[in-house]
Amino acid sequence: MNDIEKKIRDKYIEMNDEAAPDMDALWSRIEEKLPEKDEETTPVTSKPRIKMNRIVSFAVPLAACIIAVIALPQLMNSADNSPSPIISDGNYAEDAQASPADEENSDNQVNDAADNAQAEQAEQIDQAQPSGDAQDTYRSALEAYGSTVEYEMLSLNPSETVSVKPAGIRGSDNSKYFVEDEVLESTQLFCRASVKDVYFSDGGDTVCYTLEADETIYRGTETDTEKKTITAIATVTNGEMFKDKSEYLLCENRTYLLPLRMENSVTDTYRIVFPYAPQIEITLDNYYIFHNGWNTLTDGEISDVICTSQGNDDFYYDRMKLCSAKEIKKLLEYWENS
Amino acid sequence: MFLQIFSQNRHKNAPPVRIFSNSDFIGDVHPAYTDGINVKDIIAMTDKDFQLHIRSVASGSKEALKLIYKEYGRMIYSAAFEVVKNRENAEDITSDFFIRLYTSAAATYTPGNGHKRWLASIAHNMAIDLLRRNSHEQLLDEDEESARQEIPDTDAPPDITVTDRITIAQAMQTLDDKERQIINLKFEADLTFRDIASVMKMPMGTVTWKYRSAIEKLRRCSDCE
Repeated sequence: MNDIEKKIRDKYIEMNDEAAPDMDALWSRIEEKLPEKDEETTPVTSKPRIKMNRIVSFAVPLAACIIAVIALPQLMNSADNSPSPIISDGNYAEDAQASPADEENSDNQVNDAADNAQAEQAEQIDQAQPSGDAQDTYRSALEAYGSTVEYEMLSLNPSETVSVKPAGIRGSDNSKYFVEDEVLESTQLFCRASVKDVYFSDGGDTVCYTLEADETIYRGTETDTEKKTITAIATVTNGEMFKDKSEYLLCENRTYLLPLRMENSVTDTYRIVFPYAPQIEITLDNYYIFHNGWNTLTDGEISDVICTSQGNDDFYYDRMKLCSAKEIKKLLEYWENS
Repeated sequence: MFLQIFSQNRHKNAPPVRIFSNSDFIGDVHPAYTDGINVKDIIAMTDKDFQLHIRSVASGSKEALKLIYKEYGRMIYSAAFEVVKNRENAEDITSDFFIRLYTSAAATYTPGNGHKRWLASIAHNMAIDLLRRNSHEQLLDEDEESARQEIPDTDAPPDITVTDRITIAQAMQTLDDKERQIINLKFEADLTFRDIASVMKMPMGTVTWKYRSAIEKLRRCSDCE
């Protein structure tokens, strides 16, 4: 920041100072509306904070060592035995939920050793999320999360991908309306994959995703559970991304269930069948976020997902739902038989 | 590093402490932070500090929420105001923001991406949601009315030429909405361009370009040269 910018900044802050509201009065207003909670920790002060930091700095490596010696072999064994999440097995949903449960329980053990406060928070979050107990029977999204859940509350990997303003559905171009039967008809395979990289080619007209596929389901053939790296592409609707008119980008580090069709078998490149809407996103606890254009999925015990609008052209932010693997199984069966 | 601290009448009822390092302005801190605390502790709330505070908030500590409010309340208000352009709505958003933080959002905080970006992002989204809830016609009316109310100097000429000497408030009126929001997030929240791009869901190139464009327009402010 150069001198001119610093002067402008100071003048700007000064201008805002004059127009700022009475922050103390505003706090009083906020305080009046705060609901009563049972406080679980001592009030925050600077000195205990420092002590806590010291405790954490010693306890975390210690807990990590304990986990490495005792828990890690068990975790690895359970990971080796864990079934593929989408395989059409009657018990897959139950099994799939048991796996994150074990990890969560282990995480809590680490937290207990490292920091009691963190463990308490984990328990609190745990109450809002589906129970991870391996003894639990199958739970629908409705049962696990209730009728509505905020997108930010869902268990998702952090992502650095900057979502740009989506094009969504526009004008009279019928090809951009999501019609489930048409999408399924064009879908040659469903792929459960994590996004490893997002980049643009063709001068910004094509968005490319490097995907790590852990499960691929071909119509009429067996499910391929071999892990492989593939490329998925989508043409950007309105030209270069810097026009702020791109598709609903997939986020790096997140996992999706993608309807694809083959683009180039030599380079193992696939095309996303319908990129003009959010793709089916998979949470870490194996629930599926989808828009209500997927008619087959909306029949089950699902929850509404409250999302933040991506802009005026975002036609999907208030149409997002959450379902379990049970509904996904129905969708895949419908696709197989269609 | 030499640190100099002195108070200045910044807010009507809560003058903050203004911190300088070798005559460079570092930031403002609410006086509540200065009582018996080392200078190094009050320069800014670190991610680690924030993590501890927000964890306490998630556990039900109003005291921790107040500390976060004192540090970032003004930033949240300002970020909301630049979107809704209405003082009353911006205060409502700030109020709802901290209530939401207390009731649910605090538990969802994930360290690692910068707490200021997280806070600014929620505030920005809440402001946009409010705009969307209101009808388009209502918004236009409110914008015009609030623009008249919020800008003290209404004598700005309709056509400002490049050579005119204008106040910072007038200069800000020459910016478009996105430019104003970017300037706000840069100056008030002290976010990086990458953070701003994330908050506003824009490509970083667009953010930097718009920032430069805004700075060029603001250079015409007579006090800024």
